[in-house]
Amino acid sequence: MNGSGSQKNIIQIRGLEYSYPPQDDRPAVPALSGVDLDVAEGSFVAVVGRNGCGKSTLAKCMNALLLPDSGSVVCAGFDTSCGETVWELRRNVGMVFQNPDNQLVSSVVEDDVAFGPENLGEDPSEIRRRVDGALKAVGMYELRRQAPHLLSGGQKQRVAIAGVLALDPKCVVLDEPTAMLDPSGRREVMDIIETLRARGTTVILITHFMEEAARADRVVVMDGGRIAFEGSPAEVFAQTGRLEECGLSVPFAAELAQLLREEGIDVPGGIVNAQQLQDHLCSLK
Amino acid sequence: MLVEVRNVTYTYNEGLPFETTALEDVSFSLRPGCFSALIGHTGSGKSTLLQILCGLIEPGAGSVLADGTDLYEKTGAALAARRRIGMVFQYPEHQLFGETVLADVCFGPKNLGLSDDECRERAFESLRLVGLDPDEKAGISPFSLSGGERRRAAIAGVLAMRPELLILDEPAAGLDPKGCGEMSALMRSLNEEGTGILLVSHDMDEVAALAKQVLVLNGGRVAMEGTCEEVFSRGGELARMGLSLPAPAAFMSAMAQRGYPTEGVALTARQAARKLSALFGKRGGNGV
Ligand SMILES: Nc1ncnc2c1ncn2[C@@H]1O[C@H](COP(=O)(O)OP(=O)(O)OP(=O)(O)O)[C@@H](O)[C@H]1O
Ligand SMILES: Nc1ncnc2c1ncn2[C@@H]1O[C@H](COP(=O)(O)OP(=O)(O)OP(=O)(O)O)[C@@H](O)[C@H]1O
Ligand SMILES: [Mg+2]
Ligand SMILES: [Mg+2]
Repeated sequence: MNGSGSQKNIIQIRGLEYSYPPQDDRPAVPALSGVDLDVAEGSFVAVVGRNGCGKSTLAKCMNALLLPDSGSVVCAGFDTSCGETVWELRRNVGMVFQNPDNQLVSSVVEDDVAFGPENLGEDPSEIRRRVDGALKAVGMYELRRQAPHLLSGGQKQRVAIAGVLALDPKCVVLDEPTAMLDPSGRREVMDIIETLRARGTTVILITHFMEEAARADRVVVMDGGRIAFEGSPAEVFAQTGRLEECGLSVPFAAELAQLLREEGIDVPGGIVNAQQLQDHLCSLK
Repeated sequence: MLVEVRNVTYTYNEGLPFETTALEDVSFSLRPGCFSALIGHTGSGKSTLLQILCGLIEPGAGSVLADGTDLYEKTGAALAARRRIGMVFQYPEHQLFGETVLADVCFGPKNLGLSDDECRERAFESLRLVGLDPDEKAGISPFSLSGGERRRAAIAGVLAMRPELLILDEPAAGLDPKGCGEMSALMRSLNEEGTGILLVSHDMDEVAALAKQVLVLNGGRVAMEGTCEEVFSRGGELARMGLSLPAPAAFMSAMAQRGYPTEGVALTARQAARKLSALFGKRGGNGV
C-alpha cells in the first residue's frame, strides 16, 4: 500500500472481490472481481458503467454495507471489515442511494434529516444548525414540516441528500442521485456537489449522465465487476470506441465536437463540456 | 384509442391541513397511435395525472374518456377500456414480487385469462423486446437482477398485456446510455407498430428525439402544448418552470447570446452541427 506521497487517499481499495451469496436454489452472483481504486482526499471522482457492472456494489463496500470476500477496503482510515469502527466509518463516509424511498424513515422531513446527527449524539443546537443548513442547501427548507411520503420523487431525493449532508461527512458517495430529478433539481444537485468540493469534501458520484461525469476530476469506467479504464474526463471521453464497448456514450459536447470535425471545422480534441466548445467556436470568427 | 382528458382536478388530502392540489383544470387529448411527452418540474403533477389516466385514482372533478367511454364509470366497458391502457410506473422494478422473472412477466397475461402456454410465449417475446435474454433470465429471481435489468423485466410485464396506449413514467431513469438508447428504440418501434405512447421524462433530449407532441405541466396546470419545435423554442419560459432545453437547443441558444444567432430550433446534435457548419465551416458564411 503505497498510496501516500503528498496527497492522502481517503479511499484505498485493493483486490476487492465480492459475490452475492447463494440463496435457495440461486447460485452466488459474482459482482466485483478484483477492484483496485485510490481516491485522493478532496477529489471529485465519477464512476460510470453499464447496468449490472457493479457500481452500487462497490459503493456499498465503501460504506461497510457489504464486506469483501477478499481484498481490502479502507475508507477515511477505517478498514471496513473492522466491526468496532463501522459507525465511525459511516459518519465519515455518507451514502445517498439510487432509491430515495428506502432512505426516508421519519414522518416529518426535518426529523428525517436530523436522524443521523441525533444518532451521533450531537447537541440539539448543533443539530438544528446542521439540519437547517442541509435543508437550505438542497432547497427543501420551505417543506421541512412536510411528511416525506407526501413529496414527489425528486423532492424525496433532495431530502435524502440533506440527511447525509447533516452528518458533515469527509466523503460523500452518491449513487445516481439525479436519476429522477427534473432539470433544475439536477442542476441543484450538481451545484451541491460543487459546494461540497469547494469545502474539501471528497465526492464519489455514480452516474449514467456523461455530462455529469465530465465535471469530475477523474472518471472511472467499470465493466464486468472490474475497472475497465480511467483518467481525466478529456482522456476518458476521447475513447469513444472503448466507451461504447462498455455500454456508455460521450457527453453531448464531445459528440457535437466530433460532428463538427467531420464537417471540416477545426476543433481540437479533449472537449467535454459545452462551454469549452462554445469558447473555441467563438475564437474562430 | 383516443383518450380525452377533460377539466381534470385532483387534490390530495382534501379538507386536511396538508391538502395539496396536484392538478387543476387539466384538459388535453391523446390521438390513436400518438407519441406524446409529458414534462414538468418535480411535483408538477405528472405522476398524479398518469394514475388518473390509467384508472387508479378518480379525479375530484372532470373526466377521462377512452374512445368515448368514461374510465370511471362503474361498468364493464370502463373496465375493458382501462385494460387497453398499459402503465409503466416510475421505478416499476419495486413492484416485482414473483419467484422468478417469468412468473412476474406472466402475471398480467394470467389475469387476462390466457393459457399457460400463451402467457409463456408472450413473456418470452416481451423479455426479448426489452433486451433480456429469456433463456438466461426467465428462471431466476427478479431480486438477483441489477437495477437496470429489473426495470426491463418490469416493462416486459406491461408489454405482455399488449396495450393500445402505453404510458411510461421516466422509463429510462437509471438506465445506462446503451440501455437508454435501447429504450428509445423500443418505444419508437412499438409506436411505429401502432401503440400510442405517452412518455413522462425529465430528459429533454429524450423527449426531443422521440415525441411528436409535448405537454408541459406547471404547478398542476397545462402551461404549454405543441410540437417539440414549438415548445423548445420557448427556452426562457421553460427555465422559469424548472425545466431546460435539450442539449443541442441549449447550445445554440448560448451561441446566440454570444453573437451567433441561428434560425429555428436544433433538436439533435446533427441539426446543431449543420447550423454551426453554416456559420463556421469552410463553405459557411462569414460569422453573423
Ligand atoms: N442483492 C443482490 N443479490 C444478488 N445479486 C445481486 C444483488 N444486487 C446486485 N446483484 C448482481 O450483482 C451485479 C452488480 O450489481 P450492481 O447493483 O452493483 O450493478 P450497478 O452497476 O449498480 O447497476 P445499475 O447501473 O443497474 O444500478 C449484477 O449482476 C446484479 O445482478
Ligand atoms: N400520495 C400523496 N399524498 C399527498 N400529496 C401527494 C401525494 N403524491 C404526490 N403528492 C403531491 O402532489 C403534487 C404532485 O405530485 P406528483 O407526484 O404528481 O409530481 P410529479 O410531477 O410526478 O413529480 P416528480 O417529477 O418528482 O416525479 C406534489 O406537490 C406532491 O407533493
Ligand atoms: Mg446501481
Ligand atoms: Mg413523478
